[in-house]
Formats: sequence, structure tokens, C-alpha cells
Amino acid sequence: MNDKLVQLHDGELGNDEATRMRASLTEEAADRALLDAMDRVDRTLVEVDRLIGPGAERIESGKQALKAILRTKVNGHEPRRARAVFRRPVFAAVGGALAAAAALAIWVAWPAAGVIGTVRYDVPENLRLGKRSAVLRLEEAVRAPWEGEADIDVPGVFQMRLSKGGEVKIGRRASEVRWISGRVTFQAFADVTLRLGDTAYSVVSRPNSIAQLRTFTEYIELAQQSGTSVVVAGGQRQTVEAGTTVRLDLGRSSLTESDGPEQ
Amino acid sequence: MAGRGQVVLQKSSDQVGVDSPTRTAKLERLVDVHYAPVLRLLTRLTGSVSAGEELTQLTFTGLLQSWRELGGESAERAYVMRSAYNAWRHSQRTRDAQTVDCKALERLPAQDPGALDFVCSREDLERVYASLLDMPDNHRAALVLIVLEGLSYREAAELMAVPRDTVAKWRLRAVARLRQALSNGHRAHAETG
Repeated sequence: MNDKLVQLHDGELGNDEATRMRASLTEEAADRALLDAMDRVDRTLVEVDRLIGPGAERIESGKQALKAILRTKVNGHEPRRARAVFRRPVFAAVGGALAAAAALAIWVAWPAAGVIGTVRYDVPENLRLGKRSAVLRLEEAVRAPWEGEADIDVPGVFQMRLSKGGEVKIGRRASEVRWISGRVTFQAFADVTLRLGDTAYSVVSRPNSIAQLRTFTEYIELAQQSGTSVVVAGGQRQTVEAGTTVRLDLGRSSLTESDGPEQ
Repeated sequence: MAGRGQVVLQKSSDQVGVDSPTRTAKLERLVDVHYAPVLRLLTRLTGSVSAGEELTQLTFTGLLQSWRELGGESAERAYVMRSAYNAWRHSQRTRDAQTVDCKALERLPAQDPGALDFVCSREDLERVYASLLDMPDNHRAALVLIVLEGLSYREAAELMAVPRDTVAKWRLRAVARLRQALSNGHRAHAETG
């Protein structure tokens, strides 16, 4: 291919040379055809670019997610580096029992598709998301490594810390937790429903409240740190104030215990 | 509460930490200004938005470590884009085999030739997309920077840290490859029917 033609096409030739070359093209049908073909290639390329490119909505959600990550880093809250959190087999066994027992579903309303949050993790090679993936999208699953943790952060909605192979799947308009273990922290979300089998344990947390949730083989424990949540188990309903801990008995489908303020 | 299920509460200050308003504001401005162009560049270079987003995040977290004040918007933009380009180059050295994901083109309307000022079939788009991802990285980068990013040969050469003639050569080979992909497709189409 004539490299001068390409440079003419790209506007890289000087004015005089470009003028001379355009004049010569009127007599060179082959060159004109080549130039037309290059135009077609470029326009096809631009159309491909339009189709694969990110939409405005995705750009905006990605921007917000990235800001949240950078803020975290500026504030000196790097996720912990790889370390074995749960080495002992007994913990692995407990985690396995949880995996078999729990079929929890957490629904978190989310208005739009696209990048919805970020994932940070200690041992990336064990994470279910793509090898180097650090963003969370609808309908993706996150599985924490057995030795290490995965932090899920949907800015302004919720944060979770999964460990011991805990797994969460993000649905189209929902977060569906298949099973969870270790500590899970929700922050600043509006409505969350936990389900175990056919039984719904409803936790409605007010915006800007922070609670910690732990699942064990017999019960779920919710410790309210700020704001209030409403917990519903079976026919019982209880408001959980800041500094209060509530247990949901998984065997009996009821609220079994409510503590006073934490120290 | 005592016993096995006791929850150890963290103070909220432990979770939030001490913010640095000035630095945070600067970073947020950096993201506001440069996120979209960086993501577009990296999407074009990688061929997918997902991969572009991952590298965009890497780029900005890298900038967090290395950022220094630069005089003027154009110098700042050049620095950010160069960082993005380098992040992509680094990822190419360590990547797994690149896969062509033609699902990325699924947003193409089924029959909407009026949307374009020339007829562009899905087959053509897929051929160009596949050929784009299949060509050597340097050729693709030259093509992307010049055709899609609108850089001059000189600007592309500076960004890629190679001589201008080298960029011109890569761009030439890239466009030849795409032309070949299109003409092969048309020839096959004509032969079959």
C-alpha cells in the first residue's frame, strides 16, 4: 500500500504535497479506490468503536466506584494483604457446614445495569470473578477465598466482607447471597431481606446505618452500630437500635435474643 | 453478649478514618476530568469495556502513588493518557490469551442501515473487530491513537515513545490488515452466494 496515500488520508502531509497528490489522484483510479477503501475501513472501525464503547451510564457508575476506591486509599484503608485468616481445618469444616446449610438471599435494590461496585481481595487467584477483576457488575458472583477475604463495596449502598469461601451473587435488581460466612457488614442501604430456604428473615435498615451480620450454623446475628434496623422473623418484628445485637434463630425461624447496648 | 456468637463492634471512626479533604478533592477532580477519556482509550486498546475498566482503575490507583502537580491541562492530560497507555502495555505483557468477544457487538441494531451514512453489515463489523484484536499490539495502538483518538503521528509517537516513522509504519500495516479482512470477507460472501 502506498504509505503516502495513508498519510494523505490521515492529514499528515503538508499542504503543497497534499494538493499535488490529490490532483494526481484524479488520474489514478487505483489510488482513488484505495483511498475509498481506507475510508470504509476507518468508518467501520469507528462504528465498531461506538458499539463496544462504554455508555454514559456505565462511565458515571464506574467513575463513582473509582472515586470510592481512591478515597479509601487516601484515607489509608488498604485491604489487608494476603494472609491465611482461617487456616485451621476446624474452621474450614464449619464453613463447609455453612455452605450446605445456608441458602440466604439478600435483595438490594439497584436502579441500573453497569458497574455497581468494587471488589477488593486478599488472594485474587481464588476469587470467582475474573483473574484481575476488581469491579462488580450485575449478575456476577463473588466468592471469597478460603484463605483470605473479599471486600465488596457498592458505594452508597452496602459493603460486605466475605471470608472462608463465602459467596454472594449479584442479581439484576438484587443481591442474592448463596451462602455467607465470616463477618458481613452492611452500610448505608435501605432494604435487605435475608432468606433461609422458604423462611424470610427481613432486615430493613435505614439509610446511613451500619450493622454487622454474622452467620453461624444455628443463628444469624445482627449488631447495629449506628442508625436503626427493623428485623422481622416469622411473626415477630423488632426494631434494633444502635448498640444493640439481635439473634435470629435459624432452626426456629424466630427472634431468640436481643441484647442491650454494646460496650 | 457472651459466648461464641459475640459480635465485636468497631467504632465508626475505625471504619471511616481521617480524611484528607484537599487530596481527596484533587483526586476526585482528576477522576471527573480524565475518567471517561482514559476508559475510552483503554476500551479501544483492549477491545472490551470490562477490561478497559480494570485497567482504568489500575491507572488511577497508580496515579495515586506517583501523582505530581503538572503545569497546565494539556500536560496533565498527556501524563494521564501516558500512564493509561503504559498500564495497557504492562497488562499485555502479562495477559492470558486474548479472546475475541463478539457479544460486545450485540448492541448493533438488527436492521437499521439508516443509522449509518454507509451500509455496514454485522459481518463487516465482526471482521474488523476480530482483526483489530488479532493484530500486533503496536499496530492496534497506532491505529487506535490516530484514527479513534484523533492524535497526530507526532503525538502518537510521543505517547508510544517511538519515532514518528515507526508509528506511521505500524498504522500502515494495521490499516492494510483491516482492508484485507474486509476484502476477504466480501470475496467469501461473493463466492458462497
